[in-house]
Amino acid sequence: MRFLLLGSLLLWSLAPVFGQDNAEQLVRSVYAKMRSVKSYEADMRIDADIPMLRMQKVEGKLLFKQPDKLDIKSKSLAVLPKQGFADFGKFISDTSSFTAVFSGEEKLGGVLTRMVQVLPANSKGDLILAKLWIDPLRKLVMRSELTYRSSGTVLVDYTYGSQQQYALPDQLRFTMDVRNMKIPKAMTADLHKKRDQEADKGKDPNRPAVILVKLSNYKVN
Amino acid sequence: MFLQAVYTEFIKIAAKPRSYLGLAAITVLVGVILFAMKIDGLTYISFITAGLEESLLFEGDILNGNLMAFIILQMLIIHIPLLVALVTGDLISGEAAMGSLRMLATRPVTRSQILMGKFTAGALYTLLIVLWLGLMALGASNLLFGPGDLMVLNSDGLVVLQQGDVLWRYLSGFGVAYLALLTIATLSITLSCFSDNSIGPIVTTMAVIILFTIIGTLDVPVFDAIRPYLFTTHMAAWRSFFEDPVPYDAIVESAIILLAHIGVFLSIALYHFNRKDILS
Repeated sequence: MRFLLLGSLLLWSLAPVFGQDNAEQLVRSVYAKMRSVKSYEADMRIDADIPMLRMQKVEGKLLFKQPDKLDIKSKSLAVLPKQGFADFGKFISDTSSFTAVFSGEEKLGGVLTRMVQVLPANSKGDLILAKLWIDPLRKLVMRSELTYRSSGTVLVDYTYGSQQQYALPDQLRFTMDVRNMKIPKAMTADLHKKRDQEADKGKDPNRPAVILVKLSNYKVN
Repeated sequence: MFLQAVYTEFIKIAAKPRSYLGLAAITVLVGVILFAMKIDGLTYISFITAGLEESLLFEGDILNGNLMAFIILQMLIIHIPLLVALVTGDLISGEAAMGSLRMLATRPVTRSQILMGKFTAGALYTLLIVLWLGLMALGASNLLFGPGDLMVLNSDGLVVLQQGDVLWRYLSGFGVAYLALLTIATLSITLSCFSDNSIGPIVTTMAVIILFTIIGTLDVPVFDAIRPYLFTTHMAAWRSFFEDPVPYDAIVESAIILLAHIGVFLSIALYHFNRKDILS
């Protein structure tokens, strides 16, 4: 009985180590799938709902080259999240730069995902913590929650379609907090305006920003 | 006969050196603004977008010709009334001061025709000022900075308008800005009917604009009832064309109020000028 108790305690204390190994292995396998594509280009459509910023839908082309070279070609002014797009791939490319542990399971859109917490080894970097919801069967990141020192938390929801074998999503939905800005009326010569247009439309000016990026017509290399 | 009177009045305006002050001032001011923006425009823009740029990335040229044109317009449109009043405030009182008004009244035209001729010539001069401002703001800016999407700075945030959706807004905005400046021109012509020297109507016009602007800006309930009817409240109505969606109701309301002011000022001017005892 004493040996059984001791054995259980030993296994319990080693569990995180095994969990860590498995979690890191899962992250590595996800990255390996992402890495299988050297470069790609796709048609892009951006639909942004950002407090204090009103803009129409923007169309353009997205060009990506490993490990993190992202280029956007558009005739219009496009707004994208500063972080959470290509920088995360670069971060997980170096397996020694992070520690990963499982933190549970969750169903996302009918898919059972494993939740993995990724902690950077370098505590002085901009990325403080990454939480990933990974579909272990398809080796796909279904959701990520990236916490940055400079800009707060960026939540990204991924939807996959025809290019899921390369871990390339058809849609990315970014949700993040943006700092409100107050533009002096004198600067805008908007001296007589009394009403707040956002409030008029029943929108909360303190709501998080949502940027929906739809990708199609992939050309994968 | 009326067209001849308009032509004569326009030639008189063209012959005065002060008429070119407005055009020269616009040219110099636009040049100064464009030079400053070319050198340090990104700092100016980042002051506004800094909060958003902590989390967002803007892809494309924010600092382009369309934005420059907008910045120029909103900087200058406040000062243009002075340039207009400088010429139109002198149309009747200038003649009175020179002693030529009496002689003008002896010509075979009615006093109403004389006044309407001066008003139409003043309106043409105002149009010329607006066209020159538009040409300088849009033409020179796009030449120097190139075209692009327009990021408009409103007090309640930023509105990004796509390049192809901008020109009609500028043209419509110039139309409403012209109406606002025509109101100023009519006010100064009306005041000019009451004076025998040039400085009085010009200074009084500016004083009225300053007074009404202060009343309009003071967020005090006592002025709430009159604020919507002050013409200065509607002088920035041109900016409404750069909102998304465009508040057409508010623009039409502003246009009606500006037109009503023009009508009232012109009626007062006609009434007084027809009964004026011209002694010089």
